[in-house]
Amino acid sequence: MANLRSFDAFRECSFRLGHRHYLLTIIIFIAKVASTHEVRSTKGSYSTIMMGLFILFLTWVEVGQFFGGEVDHQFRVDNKLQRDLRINLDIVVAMPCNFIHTNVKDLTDDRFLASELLHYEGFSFFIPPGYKTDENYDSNTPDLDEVMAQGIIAEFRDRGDAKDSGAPACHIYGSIPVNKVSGDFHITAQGYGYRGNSRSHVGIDGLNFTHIISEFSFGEFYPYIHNPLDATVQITKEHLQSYQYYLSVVPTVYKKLGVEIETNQYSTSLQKKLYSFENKGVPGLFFKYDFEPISLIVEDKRIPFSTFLVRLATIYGGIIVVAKFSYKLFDKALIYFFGKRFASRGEEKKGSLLDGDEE
Amino acid sequence: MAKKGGLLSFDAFSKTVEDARVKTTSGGLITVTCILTLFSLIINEWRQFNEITIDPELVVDRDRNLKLDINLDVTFPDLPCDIMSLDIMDVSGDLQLDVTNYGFTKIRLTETGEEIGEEEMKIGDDHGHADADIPADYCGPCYGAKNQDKNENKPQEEKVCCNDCDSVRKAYASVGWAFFDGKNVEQCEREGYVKKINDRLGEGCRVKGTAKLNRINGNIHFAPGASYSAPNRHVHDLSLYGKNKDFNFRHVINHFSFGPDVNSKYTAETLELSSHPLDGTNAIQGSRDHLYSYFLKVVPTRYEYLNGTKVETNQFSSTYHDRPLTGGRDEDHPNTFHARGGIPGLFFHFEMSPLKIINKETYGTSWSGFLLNVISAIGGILTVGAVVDRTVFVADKVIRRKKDK
Repeated sequence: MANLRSFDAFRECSFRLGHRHYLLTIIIFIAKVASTHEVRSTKGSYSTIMMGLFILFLTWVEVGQFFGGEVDHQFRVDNKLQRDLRINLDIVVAMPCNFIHTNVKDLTDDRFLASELLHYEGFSFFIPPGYKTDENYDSNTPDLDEVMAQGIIAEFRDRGDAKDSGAPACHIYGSIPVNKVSGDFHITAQGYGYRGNSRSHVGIDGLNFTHIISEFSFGEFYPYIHNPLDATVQITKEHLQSYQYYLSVVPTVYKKLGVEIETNQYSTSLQKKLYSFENKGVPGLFFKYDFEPISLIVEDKRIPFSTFLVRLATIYGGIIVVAKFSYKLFDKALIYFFGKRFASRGEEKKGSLLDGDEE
Repeated sequence: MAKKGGLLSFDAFSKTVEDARVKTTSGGLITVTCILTLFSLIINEWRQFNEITIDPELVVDRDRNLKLDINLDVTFPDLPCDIMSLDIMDVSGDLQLDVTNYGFTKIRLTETGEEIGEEEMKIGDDHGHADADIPADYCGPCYGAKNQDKNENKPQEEKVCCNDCDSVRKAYASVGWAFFDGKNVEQCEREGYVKKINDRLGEGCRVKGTAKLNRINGNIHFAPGASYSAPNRHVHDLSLYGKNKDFNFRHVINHFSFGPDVNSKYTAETLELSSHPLDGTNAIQGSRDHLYSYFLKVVPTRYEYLNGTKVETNQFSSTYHDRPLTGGRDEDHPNTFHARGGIPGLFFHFEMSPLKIINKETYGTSWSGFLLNVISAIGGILTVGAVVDRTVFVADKVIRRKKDK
């Protein structure tokens, strides 16, 4: 015990503590400060309480920051040899299903028989509430917490109603695994764009490429994560209208607390073209996509617990020292401007004012 | 006190006299704890100070004169070196003949994979061999592959000739004729080409080497037979390849990279910079008429070491694709309709990214930062220790006083 005593760096001024108001001393948040000012004064108490509150507040902020973490954006070259990737889509086109032709073509000259993978169902055309046209479009990038909350994997339900139900609109949904090279997914009308094997040719008057996109995403299907094309509407009265969406896909990994969501963001631009008999082109919806080599990592990072403790200790230390210091300065200022008598109002016990620890 | 001097009144660090000090056991305990904590914190700080982090930076690539280095090492177990050619083309289909600096080696492999000899490989294969034995006025026939009708009236230099086996092969390729193994072609029989080719049919081949290219979007491809390029046309003579059912472009990529490797002991966990996504890729399925392609996107990268050395290299992302030349659906892709046609082979298509990554090695904290951290750690811990100590002391006093009463 005696040995330990010799290590005591915090030597007490014992005789200064031998007064009656020890209880007050303890109640006041930091005993150290209270007893440092060997003179109990209301002024000192107030400042101690204020300091305590301030410390509590800073602790609150720090703890919040520690648990909340910090969002860190990183990037790296995508270093996985990936062969294919899914396109998930859910689109309503204002044309009967049997008019519609879907396909994917890409750099490898492969053709994906999208119509075999996608589900078609007859639908009545209406614009759901909350869907945006070009005018009131907002493009918010979802932040990490949103993505984390929304990152629930799902699958599309199986084939719906019959394709040829005679409904005025067609609901096309499903996933197509495409090669991870630049390509073009398109929805055109039967008999346009492809020569040969079209059994039916839709008359021009039957064409209407007004469409509602509820989902258009790449990679794993996370229905709740918002993509730029989700919930958008394009309305046209023309028959030979073509919409060309240019998409640049950026692989993105979201990481938080050990949970990892791998998905793809994309940027988009839309080009509308109106064809006529003279100015020939293929009317339809075209989604031309390309993949970026650099992938983003959005990560929730937090400081290690030991660093957090040191931060807290440093902040406490700093506050205590600064508070002591400013208290003394304030006192000095009072004496300087108003005299000793004024400054020692409210004191319970006489003592020197300026020389806190010193004797 | 104020009388003693002006400076004295500024003393913020007032002292307590020795007599007024009490040493307590609890104080000692707290001190020891504080010292231990401090010690571990300072060690931690020191470790952080010595830690080297890599700072990635993304810029738009402004270099115009840099070349793209390709390093490759590919093994073809079922394809002899002699019938394989390597071409580098840009995106418009033009052959890259201005490849300034290259060196590819073909290593012949036995069926079991042992190496049995190497020779240099030429890009585009357009250099003929000079043969010492032939007479000076010799002008070999091209067997109709080139128009030699007007040769008789021309001086020797202007004559259209096929003096060696290779030129006959080229001439055949240019008109799209099948050359096969060169049998019954006088030049080839004389040079021993026919025998050589037929002896080596069962062999495999490993191609290794580097090339310095202009930074273009294009492809580098291995395909069978002599190639012939004309504007908008690039053909390979597939006759010999087509004759043998055992040939195919199965391959193992031992190494594929753009630019020098970066070996940094710090990158392993943090950035995976030196990873080559294609290394070790083993494409073993597929028949003779199969096309393998890799689509690569190259991101120029500069690595800056702590000692100031800068390495310009490239990272790349990659996608793999293969299809049978017969087209249509295959088992792997029931919903894909592959295109028909093309040539069998192994293609690496590459595309340059406009963005460039600069990876800089830096110390996590500077000297002053380290000092500041250490001092603030000491200050913070000691102050908090003092508070704890004072609280314990007062509490102890209270309890004792109560007991005394």
